[in-house]
This record gives sequence, C-alpha cells and structure tokens, in this order.
Amino acid sequence: MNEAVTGRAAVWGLIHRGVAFFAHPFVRFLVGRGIFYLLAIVAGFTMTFFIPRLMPGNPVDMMLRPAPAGLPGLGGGTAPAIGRAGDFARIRAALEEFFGFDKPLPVQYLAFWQKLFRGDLGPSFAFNMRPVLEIVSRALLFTLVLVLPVLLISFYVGNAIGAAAAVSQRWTSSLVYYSSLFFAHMPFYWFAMILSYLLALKAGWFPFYGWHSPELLPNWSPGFVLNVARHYALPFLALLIGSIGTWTVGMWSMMLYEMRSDYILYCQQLGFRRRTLKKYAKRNAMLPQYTGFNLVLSGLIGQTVITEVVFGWPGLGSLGYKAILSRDYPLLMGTFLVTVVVVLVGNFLMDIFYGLIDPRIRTGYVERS
Amino acid sequence: MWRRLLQDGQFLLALSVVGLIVLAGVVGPRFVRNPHAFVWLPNQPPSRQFPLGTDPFGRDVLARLVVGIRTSLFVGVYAGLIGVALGVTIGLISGYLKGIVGETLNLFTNLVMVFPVLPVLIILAAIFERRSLLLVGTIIGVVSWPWAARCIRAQVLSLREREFVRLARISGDRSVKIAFLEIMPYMLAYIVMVFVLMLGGAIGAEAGISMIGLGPTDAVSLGNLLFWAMVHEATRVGHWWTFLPPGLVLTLLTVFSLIMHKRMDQIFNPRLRTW
Repeated sequence: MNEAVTGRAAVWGLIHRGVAFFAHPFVRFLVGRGIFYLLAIVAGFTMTFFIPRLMPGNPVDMMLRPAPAGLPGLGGGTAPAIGRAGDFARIRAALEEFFGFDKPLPVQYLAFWQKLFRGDLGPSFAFNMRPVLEIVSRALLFTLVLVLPVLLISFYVGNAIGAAAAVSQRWTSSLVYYSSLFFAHMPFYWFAMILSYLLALKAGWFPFYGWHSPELLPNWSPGFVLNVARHYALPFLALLIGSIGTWTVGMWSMMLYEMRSDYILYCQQLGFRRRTLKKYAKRNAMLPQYTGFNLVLSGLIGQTVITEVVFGWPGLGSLGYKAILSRDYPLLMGTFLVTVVVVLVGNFLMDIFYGLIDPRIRTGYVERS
Repeated sequence: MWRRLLQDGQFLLALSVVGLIVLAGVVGPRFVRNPHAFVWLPNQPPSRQFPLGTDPFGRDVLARLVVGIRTSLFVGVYAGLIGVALGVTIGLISGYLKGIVGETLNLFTNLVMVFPVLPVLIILAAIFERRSLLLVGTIIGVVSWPWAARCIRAQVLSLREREFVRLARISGDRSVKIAFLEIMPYMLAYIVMVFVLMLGGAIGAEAGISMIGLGPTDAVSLGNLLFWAMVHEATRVGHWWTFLPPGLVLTLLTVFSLIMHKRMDQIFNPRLRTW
C-alpha cells in the first residue's frame, strides 16, 4: 500500500518534471525551431521532387540531351545518332522505368522518401553509376573544409576590424569602411579570378587549379599535405577577404548605432576612457552580428559553390557544375539536397547557439520572431 | 525630403555612378561594334582602337561589355519588378490580415528565406535547355522576394494601428482595399528603396548563375562574360581585360545602388533620421 503510493508519487513526479521541462521557455524555443527546420527540409525535398516532374518532358529527357563533347554523360554527344532509330526510344523507356517515371505520381513520391530514408540518392552517370551519396559526401568534406574556417576566421577578424574602425576617428576609418563595402559586395568568384591572375600567374606563388598536383598521389605525407595547402590557399583567401568585408560592414553600422545610444553618451559624460566605451558598445553590437550568421552562411555557400568551380576545388560546387555539364540529373539533385541540408543544419545550430548566449531568449523574456 | 536627398553628396555620387553605368548600358550599344562579330585579331590587349582588347574569338570586349551591361540591367529590372510585386503583395497581406492567412503567409516567407538563393536558382535554371532573358529574370524574381516581404510586413504591422487605417476600417472598406489603397501608398518611398536593393541583388544573382553556364542562352550578360573568361582560362594566360571589367562594373553597380539605398533610408526612415 505504502509502496504503491510512493510509486504513484514517483510517476507523478516524473510527469511533472517532464511537463516542467517542456514548459521551460528555452526548450519550447528549441522545439519550435526544430519543427520549423524539419518543415523546411521536407518542403525543400518535396520541391526537388516536384519541380522536374511538373516541367514539360521529364528528367529523362534532360539526361538524354547531348552533353558537350568530351564529358561523360548519358547523352554522350552523338550516342543516339549512332544506333538504329528505335534504340533511342528504347533507351528512353528503359530509363523511365528505371527511375519509376512511368508510375503514378503519389507512388513515385512515396518511393522518393523511402529511398531518402535509406540514404539512397540514386546512381551517378558521370561517375560510372557509383552511388550519388558516396560522391556527394566526399565533396561535402571539401566544401566544409573551405567554408567553416572562412566563416569563423572572418567573423572574428571582421568584427574586430569593424569595431576598431567605427570608433577610430582617423581618415583611415572611412577608407576601411568603403573598401569593406566593396569587398563584401563584389562577386567572390570574380575576386578569385583576380587573385588567380595576380598570385598564381604574376607572382607564381600558388597553383591555378585542382586540389593537388596531378603527378602526386593522395597520401598523408608532409609533402603532399603542403601541396594541398598551396592549392587550398587561393580559394580560401578569396572567400575569406570577401567574408571579412561582410562582417566589417555589419559591425561598423552596429557600432555607430551603439556609440550614439544613451548609456554610452552617459558614460562619456562620466569621463570613461574611449577604450572602455568601445568595449561596452562592442558587447552589445556583437549580438545582432550573431543573427547575421544564418544569412552569411547562405550567401557564403552560394559564393563558395562558384569559387570552387573557378579553382577546380572538388567540393559541392564543382560537383554540381560537372553534373550540369554532363546532364547527370541524380547527381545534381543529390548535390542540391546536401547543400540545403548543410545550410538548414547550420541555421539550426546557430539558432541554438544564439538562444544560449542571448539571456532574453534563455530565460524566455522574449521569443525570437 | 526629396530636395534633401538631392543635396546629399554621397547620394549624388552614387546616383551618378549608377547613372553612368545605366547610360552605358542603354545608349552604349548604339555606338560600339557588333559584339558577336569577328573584328580583329583574337586575344589582343587593350589598344587605342580597342580600349578593352579582343577576346579569343576576335570580338571587341568593350562592345560585349556594353551589351552585357544592358542585358544585366534588363534582367535586374525585370527580376526586381517581379520580386517587389511578390514581396509587397505577400508582405502586405501577411502583415495586414491577422489570423490563419497572415500566419501561414509569414511561415511561408520564413521557410523560403532559409533556403540559400544561389543553389535554388541553379536547380531551377538547370531544368531548362534554352533560357530566354525573361525566363532567367522570372526565376530570379520568384526566388528573391522573401526578405522584401519581411521588411514590408514589419512596416505594415506598425502602420495598421494608425488612425487613418482605423478610420477606413470603420467606414467599412474591405481589407484588401485598405491594404493596397491606404497602407501601400504610405510606403511608396520604402518600396522604391526595396526595389533599388532588389535590382542590385538580381544583377548579382544573374551573374552567379551565368558564371556556371546557366544564364540566359540568347544574350551576352556580365556574368556570361566572366563565364567565358573562366572557360578560356583567362587568368592562366593573363588576359586580364576579359575578366576585370565585367566584375568591376558588377561590383560598382551593387555597391553604389546600396549606398543610394542607405542614404534614402537615412532620409525617409524616421527612426534613422539624424536631422
């Protein structure tokens, strides 16, 4: 009897704790954001499913377009013209059956999700029918190696430069601002071409293309790693300088805004040193910069994708470019899906991080819209 | 307020740079050689006769640049108009209508906004074998509206509590009429600013997809010039005149339209006004 009562109390206690856990504003915030991003992923995947199917013709027609000469692909340049007249139609029908385009749309949609859950993104034509997922994962690694350091370093350096330039009253300060504006809004891939011209052609410091010299085989020897690092330098610099510009511009305007605010003016009246004022203003100006992470990540991914193509860095961008050139439809879709997932996961992580550092969200004082 | 804008030095500088580029794009093509014709030896550096040299097909780079500016501007304006129309409509409705419609539209806006623009553009453009200017413009416009919708919505949320809107509501006007005829005219200056920003963004987006060979297939654009410079390995052979000018024009156009936007914001936005 007594045991039953304590047992029931324990269960109630657990339920209470569970309810309290989900009632906590920060947990509610997390769950809300989680559901939102899940919805976004479902929406994005559904879009990649429907768009090609709602277009005139279907992906098979796109795959069968002749690919530019010299590139692998099902179109294979003149392949349909060589065979007998009926061959083309037979190939087309076989491909439609292989991808299931002959089945009704709802059945295709279910099969699409079933395959996704198994991690099956289909085979790639341009890579000898190897699984798309395998090819894309390798490319993802190369893209992240480029994007993550750029994102973190540019955040730190850009904010430091922006804060310093905004409070300094020397003429260099507006020079910093306008050149940052230029760097932030130039196409990074164009800057990449300029760097390639100046540092690879004129100075000869770095190689033009690829991720390692063609005569070397990939291994972990110091010589090879150094070789990769030299190939890495130019795309990294191009993206880094542009991103630093982006953060500097944002930080500059936030600092100017904070330096005009009442608490700073008051401290100024009290005779605080400039360095102290700057420190106080910077802490508040940083907060909106963290929310900028999501936007910068989206933009940076776009710029990275193209910059990779300029330098032949084998990331998601080069892969997508190859997929487009060789009409490799499953590969293109796979690349796109992975890119979207990376951006969405990045956004989610940033939201969590922001929730942790902003006391207003952590304690549920306001909900972030 | 407009007079104040015309006395602003930064705004005037930005306006004249953007104006010069627009002028080059609009009337320039009348004064240059045929951009598609073989006119001189290929790969010649800039000279008096050919101020920007020739490309690997012996075409005049200056002529191609000027025509490229025209194309990019056209795509930018067209996509900007579509983007602004979508953004304003969705922003107005989601801001003015409370309840399920407004919330759903707001959720939709936020959903579209988390997707990276360029990959989405790539996937949309890759579907089409031939892409006309209008098609590329439409795709860009359809993708780039969410931030505009969010800005407009924020404005509407505050405007909808004003007296004149209440008055219209009391006199029995329909919501759609109030949103478009009472609130929208109030934001015209703001909408112009959104358009200026959208224009720069759309030109950049066009350059981005052109750069990987997915731009308009029937025209020369700034991104297209960069694409061919990349394909012909202009950096490796040192033909700087084929890739430096298009990117520079692109950047100047974006930066100075942004400065224009900033100055206008400073003058039209009462919260930022310093005078």
